[in-house]
Amino acid sequence: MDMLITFLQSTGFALLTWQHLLMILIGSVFLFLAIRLKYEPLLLVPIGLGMIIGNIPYPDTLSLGVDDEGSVFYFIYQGVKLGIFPPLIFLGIGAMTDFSSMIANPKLILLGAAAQVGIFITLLGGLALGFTVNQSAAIGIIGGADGPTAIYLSAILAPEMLGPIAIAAYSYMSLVPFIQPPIMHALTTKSERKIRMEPPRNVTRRELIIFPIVGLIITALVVPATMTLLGMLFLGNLLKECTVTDRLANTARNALIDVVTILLGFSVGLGTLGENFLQLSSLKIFTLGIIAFSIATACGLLFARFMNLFLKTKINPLLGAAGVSAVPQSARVVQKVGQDADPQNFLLMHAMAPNVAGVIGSAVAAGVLLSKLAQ
Amino acid sequence: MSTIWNNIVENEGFEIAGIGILLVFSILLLVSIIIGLMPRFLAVFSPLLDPHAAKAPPAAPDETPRQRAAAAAAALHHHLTSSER
Repeated sequence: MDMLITFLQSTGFALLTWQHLLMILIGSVFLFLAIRLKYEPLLLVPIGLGMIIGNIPYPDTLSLGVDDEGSVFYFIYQGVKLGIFPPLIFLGIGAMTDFSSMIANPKLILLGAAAQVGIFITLLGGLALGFTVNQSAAIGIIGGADGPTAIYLSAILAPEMLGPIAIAAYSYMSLVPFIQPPIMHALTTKSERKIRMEPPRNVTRRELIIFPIVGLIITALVVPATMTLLGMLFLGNLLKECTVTDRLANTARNALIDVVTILLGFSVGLGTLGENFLQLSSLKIFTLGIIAFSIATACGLLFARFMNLFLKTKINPLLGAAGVSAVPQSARVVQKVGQDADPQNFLLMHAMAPNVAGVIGSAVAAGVLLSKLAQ
Repeated sequence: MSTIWNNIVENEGFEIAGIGILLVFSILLLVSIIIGLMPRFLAVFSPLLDPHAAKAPPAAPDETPRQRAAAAAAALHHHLTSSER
């Protein structure tokens, strides 16, 4: 009888708290959104199930969780904690990314820089709300709209906030079609949204091969802390463009990125322990995250309008919104909002230029923050 | 209000934000300038990068519309005179 009572006391039911229950419920909502509504399923399925597993309580005598050294989940979680998964995701992104639209129209790269202003303004907002400077920097990077970069930076600068920051970053990335259009309409006129872009020039194979090499050398020499993320991004892109490593490029953009996405999403879910996640600070992080995202979009749009003051051939200011690096969601939003004003206007190809520049920009911003703040 | 301000100032918030924005713009501006200049660099260095192309005979200069019209007229004349025979 004692044995039965001891067993019952060690079950998950006996150890459940309201925090566990709420997190299991949130994980289930993620799964519902992903499976029933097909809402970012590649991310939300591993995150949602990871959340449920991470919040099932177990007795202290067992070593099962991400904090229990030696457990399987502990080792999987090290990929996030040590910043291994995000650069591997960047390798796959590099092998998928076509930089030709950016190379054809290099002035659009500046829009990718302008959208990163949101990161630094939100850093000030984080400090104003009482977060430490490292935590504020990790929250600000949500404005870069780049999940892997947000995870990479917060794992180093504010590991205690990794869960909420990762969830906020990926949530807002998937909410791009809802967050960006009102800001785009508010900050541009209809005639501006109708501006048609000139067709881009043809980019040679040689330019496509040289770009990742030169891009890496410049960025890494100026901010060495960007080397991990951008080194992997440009490696992936070189594998794609050099045409002699097709097999490796195919693996990087298919099998490898899929494996790492599963592990990254699952680890992020595992790390969202109820007692750490359900805090007032998480609410502040979500609020600051959406502010960061909105400021980033607004800065991109306003900078595009500013550029038009000096350009003979005007650019469509909507392209500025694609400076946030949510690839390719924000470029698609630009296309859609542009076509609402003029159904014959095709902006997608042009929007990819600031979009991929935004990936580089957010990695550079992360590198700058790491250089200053990492101990 | 002063606590908020102090927290930002004491943690060098303005310096980090200002220098951060400046650095991101500078690096991407540099990348953009180099990409913009790349076709010119490649034109200069293409004989080194692709020696076969350098040894190839120079391509014919672009024809003017007048030359093109003359060539078309000559071809038509040749065609008509040969068919008359």
